[in-house]
Amino acid sequence: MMGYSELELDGLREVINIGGGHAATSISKLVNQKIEMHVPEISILSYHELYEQVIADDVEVHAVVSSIVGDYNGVILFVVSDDSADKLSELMLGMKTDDINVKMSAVSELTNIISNSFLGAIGNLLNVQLVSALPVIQDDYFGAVISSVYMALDQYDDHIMVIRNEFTYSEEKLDASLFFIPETGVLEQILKSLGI
Amino acid sequence: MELIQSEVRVGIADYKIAHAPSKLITVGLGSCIGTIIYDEHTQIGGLSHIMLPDSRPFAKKQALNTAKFADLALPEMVDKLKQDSPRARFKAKIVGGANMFGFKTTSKTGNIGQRNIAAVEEMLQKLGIPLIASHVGGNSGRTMIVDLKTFETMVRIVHHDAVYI
Repeated sequence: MMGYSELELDGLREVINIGGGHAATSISKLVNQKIEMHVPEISILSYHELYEQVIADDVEVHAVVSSIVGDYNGVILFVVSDDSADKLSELMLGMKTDDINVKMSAVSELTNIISNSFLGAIGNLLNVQLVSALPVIQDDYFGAVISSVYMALDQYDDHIMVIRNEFTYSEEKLDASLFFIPETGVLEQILKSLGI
Repeated sequence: MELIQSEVRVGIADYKIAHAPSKLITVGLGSCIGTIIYDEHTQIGGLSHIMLPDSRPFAKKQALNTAKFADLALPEMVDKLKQDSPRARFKAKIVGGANMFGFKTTSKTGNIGQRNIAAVEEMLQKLGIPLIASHVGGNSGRTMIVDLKTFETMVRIVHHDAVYI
């Protein structure tokens, strides 16, 4: 079981906060509306707790995965409900669309922008090069998505480090979450760069 | 035992045993595998949701969750099924083992979905339990619902019609 001190968690929270803040600003610019971000959540949860507290395992979501390439490796996972995908694509396109392909490519492009602004901000802070590869989008059950992503990154524990930003739009919660899932050892490198 | 038709839900890295007329359900199988082992005569079934093929690399860790690994979960579940139904003749069906998002298989662990499928098939063979149907591989997550009255197993994939195996 991984153990981090409060100081270390605060340090990580600050890094993610900066990344998420930049991501929120870039979405706001893109849709020309104020999109805000909650204080990021960093916690170690069992899958059971994750499904109870965050998103249930049987919920169908749009899941966008972008691999992180550069000095650190890992994955950015953007998970959005169908309703929120409608809202975000409507904001981006300036009109409603029923075309699922148009909607998905809007969400995909949005993720690309979010991921790169998130990683750019973190990279600047830590003085490392981080970019995301082109996103892959898939509609699937949240449980299948999240467990498979962690395991693809060799994180096999029943408890996982959940690093998540949640976005809101004009006081309304958007069912959109950004998960930052670094490869094993990356968080330690981040803490080292911070001098913690 | 009360004969109420209930739905018994099996979480990730867990297994559960139930009797007809219940249904056994596990949701959100990605690279994980759902294995139903069933005896027609007594209508008892065990459903396991494993995450990984092999416990040996983790053997040094304390408090290993046996239900998480194909090599430990299946023999343990079969033992429990046998305690309940010593003369059972088990059959199996498996679901899952996807490679979600087409993750590259260059990592040292390879494609976990494929390795899980191979490990579960091998363990069933060792246990002498015939595998009579499977719905495995591909890139999509799955949910499986097993009717213990009939052994009919519904496989659901997002945006697709349900498949029965």
